[in-house]
Amino acid sequence: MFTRRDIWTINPNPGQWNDTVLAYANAVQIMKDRDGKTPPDPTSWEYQAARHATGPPGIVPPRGTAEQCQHSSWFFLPWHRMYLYYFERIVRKAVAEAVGPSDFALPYWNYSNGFPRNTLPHPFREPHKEDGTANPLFVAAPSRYGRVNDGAPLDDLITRTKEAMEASRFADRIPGFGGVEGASRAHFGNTPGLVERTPHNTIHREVGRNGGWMGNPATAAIDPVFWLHHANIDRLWNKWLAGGKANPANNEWLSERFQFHDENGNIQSLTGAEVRDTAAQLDYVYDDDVRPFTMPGPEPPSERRVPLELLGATDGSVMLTGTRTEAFITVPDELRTMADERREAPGEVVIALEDITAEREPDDVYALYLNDWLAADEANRYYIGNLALFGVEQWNDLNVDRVGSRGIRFLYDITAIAADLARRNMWDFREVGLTFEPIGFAADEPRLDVVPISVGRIGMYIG
Amino acid sequence: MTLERSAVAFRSQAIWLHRCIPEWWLGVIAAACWLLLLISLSLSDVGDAGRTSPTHSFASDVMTVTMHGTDTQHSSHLHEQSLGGSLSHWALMWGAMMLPLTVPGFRHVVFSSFRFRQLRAGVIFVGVYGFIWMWFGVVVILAWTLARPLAPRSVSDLALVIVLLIAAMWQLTAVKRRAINACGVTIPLRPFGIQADATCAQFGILQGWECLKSCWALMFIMPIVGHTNLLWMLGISSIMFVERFARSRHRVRQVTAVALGLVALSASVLPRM
Repeated sequence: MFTRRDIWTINPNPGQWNDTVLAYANAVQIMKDRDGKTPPDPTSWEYQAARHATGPPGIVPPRGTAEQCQHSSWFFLPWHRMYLYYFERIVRKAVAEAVGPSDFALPYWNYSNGFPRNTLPHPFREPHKEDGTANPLFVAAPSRYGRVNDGAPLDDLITRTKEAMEASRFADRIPGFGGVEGASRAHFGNTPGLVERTPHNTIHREVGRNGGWMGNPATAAIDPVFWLHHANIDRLWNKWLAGGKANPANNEWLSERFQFHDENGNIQSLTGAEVRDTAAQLDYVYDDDVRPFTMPGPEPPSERRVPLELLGATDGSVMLTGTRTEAFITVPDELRTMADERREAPGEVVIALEDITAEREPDDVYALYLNDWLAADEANRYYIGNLALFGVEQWNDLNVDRVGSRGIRFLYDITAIAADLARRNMWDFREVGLTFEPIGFAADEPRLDVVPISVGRIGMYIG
Repeated sequence: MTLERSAVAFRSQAIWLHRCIPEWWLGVIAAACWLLLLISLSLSDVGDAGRTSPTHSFASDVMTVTMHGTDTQHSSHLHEQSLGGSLSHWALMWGAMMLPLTVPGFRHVVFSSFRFRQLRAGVIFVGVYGFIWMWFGVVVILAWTLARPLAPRSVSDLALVIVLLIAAMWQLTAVKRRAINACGVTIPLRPFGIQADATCAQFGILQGWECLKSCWALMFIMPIVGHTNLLWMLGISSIMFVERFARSRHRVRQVTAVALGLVALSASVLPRM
């Protein structure tokens, strides 16, 4: 049984090189030395990176393995688990070649534990290893954001896991922990799940700011920290399940098969059903996993309900250009009676950012707040989630086959907030406003060349 | 009392279904179009009875039309239709074949609209989408109507083969691929007033245009084989449906291209057999 450990626990100090971390660095170099071959070596660094999206020029994974990476679909978590699993096996074999530790397992970067753990781990910041040779884990700016390399801490809202971990379902008609129920297999779908939204997308945006590799799916996996980031996302999945939650019982989710190359370059495949329990099925655990652990029974399909109904919307688009922006939702006269009738018991309320577009990957991450005028102070604002895009270029690419809607939608369940405000007689459907506020590096480093994000419409839906 | 309760329960269930499946009436219209086309075909068959051989049957007629396209008594009867008749058949054919493909866009428009304007939004979307295709139908039918009497018989015989080959090749183009994928593109729908209608119409134009780019070559086959040729309609409808909703779109396009090519080959070879 292999144990993936927190890199900040095993390697907390600058200039220190834990055996596992050193083995990873050496394995990265071995894999990079395989780059550039014809035909491409599937265990090479650039080939593995290319599996994430279309990747570096000239690298075209064979049909069946290309354009498979799942984003904004409910296969996001199982696909990335499989991706990491086979990558780790390739690395482990390279570690063995270099006579490294036989129990090598990928470390993870848990950035949600405050300072200093919300800074880039030291082995990734240092240009040289302790023997003075070039450090393969170090990526110089602009391929990685310079301030991240300098050890700048990541904002709490960037690394936040609260909303994701409190999700009661893996998938529902609004995003659960892992996505939206029934979302088809999608190279880049249109609605991310909660853990994908934050911290997955937000970390990609911050570490890959200013054109860094991590900021674009096509290049993200070239940065060696990508794999530690996704190991953490994978760990969060285990942690969420340990809280008494369950994976979907849906046959499509369980049986959808994805192909990868193993450590010998041979194509293997796995299904969602085969990666639900990392210990029993994939022979690895995380150092903070709750063990013994009984995999909970599958999550039943959500109950059939009438579709969400539009109650109010912004009349026009909202443009986000790197500054604080407010938007107000209007309820039409024809529905004001209905809105008033539900005032004391709002029921299910969902805010939808619809038809979100951007010309290219926008660096900025925005926090969304509801009805800011009701907040007593900064600490009591009604935070509902983040807006961080990742994969805009892939979303926009019409050469990528994908069934279903292509309009990017971010959905925020504000049912609990609305109920709380209603209890205090402070809720009115006719007075709903959102504040978009840049957070993280965007907040303290305003830029002139911000990539605007256009939110086509903001809708308020009731269930 | 029990009857009253049953009526209330039925009404409640009907409202629930209407809210969950607002596109139900599109299905009814599509089914009605198929039925009207079937009736039209049967009536044409009865009309031809005096002019056909004693062994003539509906099934053999359909088979003959399927395989030989224009070169039959049956289809020559169809092509003696007036322009108005052809256009009305085109409209029925569009309703039968294309209406089901509008369902995803229709649902998007309906669920993105306020309750009191959902029907209006849906009708605008479908109407504009259909308008795009009707114009295409006018062009195709006019072109075929004008060209056919002037063309030598051998060219008419080749028309089906040529159109099938074009359709087969179009399946493999990047334009087709992008058009099919663009069928999933949505635009922000304004929620209020005349601008809400305008954006629904704009969405209908967008979807209709992308659908046209994707399926024009397949639909071009229909005036040549006859608008009431149900076997061809079923075949082409199936292709359009599968390529739109199948996950493995690339493979579907490849397979249908090969299938269309094979049909073109058999259409060119069989008259000589």
